[in-house]
Amino acid sequence: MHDLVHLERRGIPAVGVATAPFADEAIEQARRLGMPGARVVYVPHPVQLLTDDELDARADAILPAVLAALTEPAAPGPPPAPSTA
Amino acid sequence: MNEAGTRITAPPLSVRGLGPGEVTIAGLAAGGAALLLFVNEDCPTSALAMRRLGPLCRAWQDAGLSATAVFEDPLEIAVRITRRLGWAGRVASEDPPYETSRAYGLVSVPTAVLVDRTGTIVGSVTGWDHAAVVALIGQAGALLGAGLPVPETAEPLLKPGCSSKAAIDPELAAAMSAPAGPDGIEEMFERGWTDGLPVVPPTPERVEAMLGGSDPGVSLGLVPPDMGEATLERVAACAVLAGCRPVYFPVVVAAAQAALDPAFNLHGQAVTTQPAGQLVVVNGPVREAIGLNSGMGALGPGWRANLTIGRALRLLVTLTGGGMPGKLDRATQGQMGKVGFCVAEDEEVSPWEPLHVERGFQPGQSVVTLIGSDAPLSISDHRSRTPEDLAWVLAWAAASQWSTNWWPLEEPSVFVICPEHAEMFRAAGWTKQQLRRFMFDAVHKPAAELRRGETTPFVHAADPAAQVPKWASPEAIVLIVAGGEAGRYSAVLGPCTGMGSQIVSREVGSPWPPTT
Amino acid sequence: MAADYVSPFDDRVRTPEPLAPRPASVSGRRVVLLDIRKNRGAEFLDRMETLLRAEGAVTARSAKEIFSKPAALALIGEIAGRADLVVEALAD
Repeated sequence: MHDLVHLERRGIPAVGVATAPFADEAIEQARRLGMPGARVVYVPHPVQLLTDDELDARADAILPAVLAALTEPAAPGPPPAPSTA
Repeated sequence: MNEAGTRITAPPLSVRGLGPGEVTIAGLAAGGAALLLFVNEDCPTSALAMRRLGPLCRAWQDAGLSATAVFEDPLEIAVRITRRLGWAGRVASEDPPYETSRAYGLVSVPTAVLVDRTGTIVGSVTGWDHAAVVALIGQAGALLGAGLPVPETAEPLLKPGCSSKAAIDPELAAAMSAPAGPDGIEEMFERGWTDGLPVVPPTPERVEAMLGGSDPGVSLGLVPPDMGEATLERVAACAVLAGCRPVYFPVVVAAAQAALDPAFNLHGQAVTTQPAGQLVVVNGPVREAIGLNSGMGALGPGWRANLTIGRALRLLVTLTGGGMPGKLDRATQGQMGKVGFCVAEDEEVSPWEPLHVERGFQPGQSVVTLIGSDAPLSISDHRSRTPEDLAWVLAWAAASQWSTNWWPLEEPSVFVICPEHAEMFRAAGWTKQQLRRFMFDAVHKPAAELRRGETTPFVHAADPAAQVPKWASPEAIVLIVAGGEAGRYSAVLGPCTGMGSQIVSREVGSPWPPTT
Repeated sequence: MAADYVSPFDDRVRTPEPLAPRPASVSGRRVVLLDIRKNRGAEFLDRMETLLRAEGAVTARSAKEIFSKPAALALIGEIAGRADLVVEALAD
């Protein structure tokens, strides 16, 4: 989260990708760093033991969310919770 | 590393251990075999390995198998972590650039390496692999001719490791392991935890030392304009950021208590376009106890206590309270007193009762007094030969405070009288009240002469010939003594106006919440 | 990394900092894919890179020194000098 916040402060839109269990920690950290709107897209856990094809599928599935995070203006309100897909 | 059928000599160790004497392979394996468990503090899998294997170390030691957790971290961190995880084996630590990890060819931690009495590597396991670890311990048991306890079967049975610090470029590794140096300072700027000057990063250790045993959860109230809660922990964080020593903390707390008194109207000062700063005047024995300066340079830089106490209060307002210049703090120009402004009165040189005694405290009490004010205006007078002339010069210097024709001023003007000026009044036997009265009477003008530009409703409504005073009452003239022994420069600070801000005093060490 | 600093802020009330303004699309933009160096991260970013190129982005790769610490500010500065957008992955 630190890296994302630092980049946003320098005017560089950024998005992090993390596994779903990270969400609570990421949201809390973003808040503590003063940028609760910092953007993270979540993939289901775990990823370490996936095959290459399964890993690719994870990336494919989140592409729309990653593009949205990088191109859509900030919406008011808290960031979206991760989907349980 | 050891491959099937290849016997490799364990590279020598370049590590620190606890206690005297070098840590060597020969020494560790003297009992029959040695297990080296390479770990680092950042790695959850390493923590898992230490937790699972730690309780077994004593039984292993009795059978002749030594177990050493070799950390790619400073020894103090290694000791703290092993204590927390229940690792009962030995502890050793590598310095960057982690030559030992490099010599053992580590890519990941944890890596467990089993070495026999001859110093030959018998086997190794990378990451947490329950079955492989049990097999490795079995090999150790075979070397010793003993049955060794193994970790219980528990999930996860497999957990990948993390990058060894040796797998990183050595220069980067050295730079990363440096204590919070330039990056810590830059991090504070990046986070916006500063007033534009470098701050001291508020590590938990520094904040704990600043609190000095006070309950961090005690709340002094809400700091405007964001209404962030001023827990003592946050006040301490601001004091650390400001560069305070822990011995200053009670004064910082008293200043915060006074500033958060609703009568002070900190909220108005924090968001106004006026150049409002919070002047902190300190009286009583605490001045000498903590090294506050009231002599030469009293209104300027040079003394840690003065600068950091004033700054700590301002950081409470700008950070915890969100009153950051350029954001919620709308001061058009501001002034350097908003970095912090803490003045100690020179009670010993002053011919008069000090400010806190005037305000009802005992001389022996240590007190802070908060006044909303603008920047000091310097008043030179090296030529007056009578107290009347000097008093006249001092008073008229304040005539344009707030605005040239803004007469009368309801809010206070704070005169800081230098020792040489104070001496003239002392020699003539003038009390503070006499001086105050003289100054009040000295500055009057007919209303007609004040009807230009910004002026008061009072002036507009008054008879053109009516004499208008600069101050609404003599009590608006606040007098303290400070400054060097040589040089006839006094100063006067103007008020923040129109927000009903009262001067507030608070005894250092007074309880919270207040009982009176 | 070592325990974080004690914050002087009350996060419940702190005025949130705004995000950087976004472009309308990634097409033609320089995207830096920042690997935090956890296992499988590089492969994941390989796929993201392919996908983003298909969307018209110009891509480049970077990597942190170690996953558990925030990237050195020097690295952030260096990335900021050559990126319009950043994707950081993969934290698990």
